[in-house]
Amino acid sequence: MGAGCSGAWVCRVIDVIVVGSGAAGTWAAWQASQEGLSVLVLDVGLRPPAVPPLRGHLLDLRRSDPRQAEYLIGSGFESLHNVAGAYQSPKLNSPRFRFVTERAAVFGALRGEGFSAVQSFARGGLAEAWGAGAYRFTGDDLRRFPLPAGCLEPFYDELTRRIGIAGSEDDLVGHFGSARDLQPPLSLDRLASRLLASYERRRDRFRAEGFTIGRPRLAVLSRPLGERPACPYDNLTFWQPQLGYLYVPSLTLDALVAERRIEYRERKLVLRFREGEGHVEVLARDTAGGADETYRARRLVLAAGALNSARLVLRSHDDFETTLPLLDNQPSMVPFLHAGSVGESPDSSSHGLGQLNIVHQPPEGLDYVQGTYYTYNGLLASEVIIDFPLPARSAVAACRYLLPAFSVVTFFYPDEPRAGNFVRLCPDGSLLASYRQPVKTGGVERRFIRLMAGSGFLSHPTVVKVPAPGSGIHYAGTLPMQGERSLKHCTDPSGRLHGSRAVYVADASVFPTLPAKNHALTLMANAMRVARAVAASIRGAA
Amino acid sequence: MTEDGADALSREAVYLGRQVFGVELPSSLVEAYVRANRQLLAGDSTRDAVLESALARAVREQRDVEAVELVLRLARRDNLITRKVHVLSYLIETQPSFLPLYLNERRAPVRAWAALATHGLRAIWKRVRGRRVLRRLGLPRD
Repeated sequence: MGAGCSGAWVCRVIDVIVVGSGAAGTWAAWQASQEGLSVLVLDVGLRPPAVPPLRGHLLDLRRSDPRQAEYLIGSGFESLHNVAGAYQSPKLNSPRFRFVTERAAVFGALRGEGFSAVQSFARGGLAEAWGAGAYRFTGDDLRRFPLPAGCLEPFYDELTRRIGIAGSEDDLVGHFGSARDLQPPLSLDRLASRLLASYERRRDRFRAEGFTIGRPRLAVLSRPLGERPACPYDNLTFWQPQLGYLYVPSLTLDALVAERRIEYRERKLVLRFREGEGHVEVLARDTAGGADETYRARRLVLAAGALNSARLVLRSHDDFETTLPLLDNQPSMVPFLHAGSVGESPDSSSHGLGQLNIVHQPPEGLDYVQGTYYTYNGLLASEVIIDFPLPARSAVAACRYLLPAFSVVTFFYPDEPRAGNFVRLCPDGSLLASYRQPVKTGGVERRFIRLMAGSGFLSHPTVVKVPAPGSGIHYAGTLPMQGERSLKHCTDPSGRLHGSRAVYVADASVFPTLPAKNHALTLMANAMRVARAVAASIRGAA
Repeated sequence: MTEDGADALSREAVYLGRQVFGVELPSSLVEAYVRANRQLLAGDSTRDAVLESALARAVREQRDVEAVELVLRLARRDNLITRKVHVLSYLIETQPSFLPLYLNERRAPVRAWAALATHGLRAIWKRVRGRRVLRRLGLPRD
């Protein structure tokens, strides 16, 4: 046993320690084990509540289940803590999904200045509650990444086969890229079908304004894959974690552990690392007993998320001075009412996820804005009841008739490093996340509202909501990969931390810029690429 | 919370259910409202205390709380009375027997537009009435 070390793992030096089990950590571990390396994943690993899973269609449960308040608002009213407050992701607020963000302030103290941060210490990370958007970054998206063209493609292909991605190659194929092995797209619900039909009739008008509409790429099965079932359109995606048909990282993690391809240790909060001669020591705290433990490996892969990987690097260097860039996709939400659908009966054919994607690309420049079209049939009416300028009983009646006609487009904006947006470690150990230079929204929304009116979907710029920066929950860029180093803490194109021989970063921290599309699939693919580089470096050293 | 406090909240729940939502709450919902208030709505600001006391008086005097809530919400949506009404809405909506209030089971576009027009007019009337009740309760609009 090495000096200052404890625990069984220091008895044999393992190849790789992966910190975190989110989308990046899981796929870094998967690839590392595929390369024949011994892998230890250290993770706090909070799990969903041990309750019987929901069965049946949401509408049927709501019509008949007398105990529905338990999973719709929580037996301790967990989802009502923010009534009438600022916007929160409805999924993260849902009682059975609360484990995803539970105790985040305890494990990762964070102070936001103009930034509303969401962190996860769950098994599987934030992607346990993701919207399943699985998009490839195209050459244009990656133009400021110091990576050779096409280097992510084999990993995208592998992921598409393994996790199952439904989608099609329609008008958006130029933005999403061609993909082999896509499953057929999910069926559209009633309102989305009406929008798509109208878009197809008025395509030239939409395209002339820079808007393109098509099917989303979703990590949801439209056909069975292995033991996983196809989506039954039960509309439970807001209320029940780990549905099987919707991919989450814990599915892969469970398989890796069951096949003994990795060692997974939960209740371990990694605090810092230290490099030695040919190895790295990792200090972790047992979150149950409070004891500190040291682990040793040839290589360390940080995949704790953009905020916590940055915290680990700064803390390990006792660096309270350096500011690191912070990126996020700023969202804006545009509600629409389809006049022709007012007074319809509930639509039982939905899945609660994004129905369509909208991309706005201006004629000048390559940066685009990407939106997702959601219909409002998986959530409670009470979520929006106080948004109507009506007395409560009238608002209930309005919801009854208007919600079948109600939909929301959430636009996401691209991001790049700006001086006012950064993270810094404070002497008390908390992370300061400052976001003083948000992107400007409004123009795209106004143009889209005008365009949609011609299709019978009505809205007004005054009802557009722009949640606080940080609400996009697509954090990135804190340890960007750079071809030529210009920051104190950054990574090289292989993901290796500059100035280090054995520490790699595999999550979205390494993205130098952030396109408008969901980055989850790319961070998984990049984590696999980094893990392959780690394997090569170990083989090279040997 | 004292027994008296729980009794007052129970009376408040019954009154809000009847006057604001037009329903008779079962005892299980009244109990849930009392528990939710204890856990979520224990107001500690001066403003909350003023509104708590005004609400108690409005319940005692059988005033139009729905109208008061609308006027307060249009000025500032995070006020205590709106939060109480909002919580009660969640509790009511998650009872299968009250679901028809929130869910239109059969296609009815004509009835829908007629209802929306009626409720639009009702909103105007309630705003006028709400301002009057607020004055009687001695509360400012914001």
